[in-house]
Amino acid sequence: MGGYTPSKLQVLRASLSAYARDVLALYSAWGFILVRLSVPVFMVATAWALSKIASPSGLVASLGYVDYVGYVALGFAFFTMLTTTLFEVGERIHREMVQGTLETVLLTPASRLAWLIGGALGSLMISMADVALVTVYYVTLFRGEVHLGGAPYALAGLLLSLAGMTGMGIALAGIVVNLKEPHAFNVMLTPFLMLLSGMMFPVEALPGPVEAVSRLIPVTHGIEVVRSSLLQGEPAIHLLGILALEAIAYTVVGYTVFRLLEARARRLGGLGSF
Amino acid sequence: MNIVYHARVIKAVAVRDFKIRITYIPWIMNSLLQPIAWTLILVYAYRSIMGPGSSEALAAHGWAGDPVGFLILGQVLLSLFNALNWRAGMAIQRERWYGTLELILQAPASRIAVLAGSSLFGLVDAGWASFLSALAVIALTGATFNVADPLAAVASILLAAVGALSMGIGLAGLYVLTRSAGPIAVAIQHPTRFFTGSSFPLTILPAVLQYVGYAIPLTYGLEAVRRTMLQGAGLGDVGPLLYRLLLLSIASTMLGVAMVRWAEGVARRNGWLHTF
Repeated sequence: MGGYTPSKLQVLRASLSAYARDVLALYSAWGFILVRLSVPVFMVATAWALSKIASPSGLVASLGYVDYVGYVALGFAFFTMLTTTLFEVGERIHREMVQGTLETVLLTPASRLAWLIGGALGSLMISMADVALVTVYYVTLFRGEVHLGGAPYALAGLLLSLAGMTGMGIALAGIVVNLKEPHAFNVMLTPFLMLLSGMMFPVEALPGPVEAVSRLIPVTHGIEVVRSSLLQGEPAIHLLGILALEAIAYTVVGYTVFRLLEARARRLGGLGSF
Repeated sequence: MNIVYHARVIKAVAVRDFKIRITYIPWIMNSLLQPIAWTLILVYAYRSIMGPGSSEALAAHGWAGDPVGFLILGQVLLSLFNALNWRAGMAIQRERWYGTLELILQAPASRIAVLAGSSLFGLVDAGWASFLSALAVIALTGATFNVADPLAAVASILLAAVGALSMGIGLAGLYVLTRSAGPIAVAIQHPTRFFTGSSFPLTILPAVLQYVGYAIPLTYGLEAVRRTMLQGAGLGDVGPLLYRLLLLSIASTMLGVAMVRWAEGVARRNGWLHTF
């Protein structure tokens, strides 16, 4: 094939830059900043209210988590980070559809994977700000304490979960190309992921088969590693291996599913319609 | 214009909203599944923090027994408010998004009738979704209720719905003059969940925060519904709650209507109708 073909790095950088411009346009409306700042406050405040009726015989306390506010604050922060990355890929495709640029993007001789990962990276940077915000709320408003010594393990767990969630996100993007309603799909999926990830309670509380399903989602193990590292100072190192396997599996499966579903959309001529 | 004319406008808007609604099937599924997931999250959170047979902490706040019914009722009414926040609250903003706001405002139809049509459809639409979601969670968890006075329970549910509706209309005025109507509508759901005590007894909060809760109509609706459906309270027991709920609902509706009229005037004078 003749002509210019950009490298993967160039595509990734261009994708990241396009994401940054979208974000700037979005946050020019003050309401989006209000959402970003207020939602974590009320989430953590709800955990604080629930902690008033917590019992030492409860499952959370028996697993060694004495501070339910910290349990939910970290769960919420990292859940948001991981799922935002998951959904960004699909939302990105939908944005291109709505703007009428999807066909152009997919017809250019550029790596799809680099393009999708560029958006996911941009989303990751924004959600890291969310994590910082929740941590600040937790430490300042609720006088919480975190074990900074566990931070390297928490980071390792987070990165491996992110890789797995990005793989899942790429598969979801393939579904979006065919379903055309990513926002409704994401809004619907979010509370179920909250339920299965153990964001507000240990997954051991779920019925057996549901717990088994929850353990197939990278975010579940990721949150467990982060919590055990930062709240207990005793990282669940054994979960890092499982997370690494899940990351590889989801990336391979996600990319394969995306390519298959993208090919289907091309065959049926539905790439640009939504 | 007579009452029949207004009724035709209300019906036309409600039917139009219905037709738009059934075009987007994923959003209908969303209305049904979201409340189920949220209630289950809270049920498992309660079970995990309270431990087996240790609901004394909840009893100390006036809600003895299984917390599942408490949570189901809280989530159902909160979902109803959330839906009406989008339907009634965003009625004017939605016309702007559809590009039909100027047409609506030029039509010889009452703005309030348009708002009422959207609200009426919202009530029906959110009502059946909330009811079915509640049935699903009851089936999944085996929650039980204690209704001694069915009339009081029905009156409480109806007035709680009116309270939620009045809050939606009250917010409509707020949303007209801002480009951030969508995100504000999202943001408002979280303090509402917190201050109304939909997920925990309001008495857990410090007094100053409880005052905020008791300025919201839905708080009274929630308490009345919970007392009549979980504790077997009668009309005499919840009468004062319903009375306050009604007063606050009337105030909220009047405020919303006045705000919409004022905002429309400002937008017309400044040429802002399509700015946001």
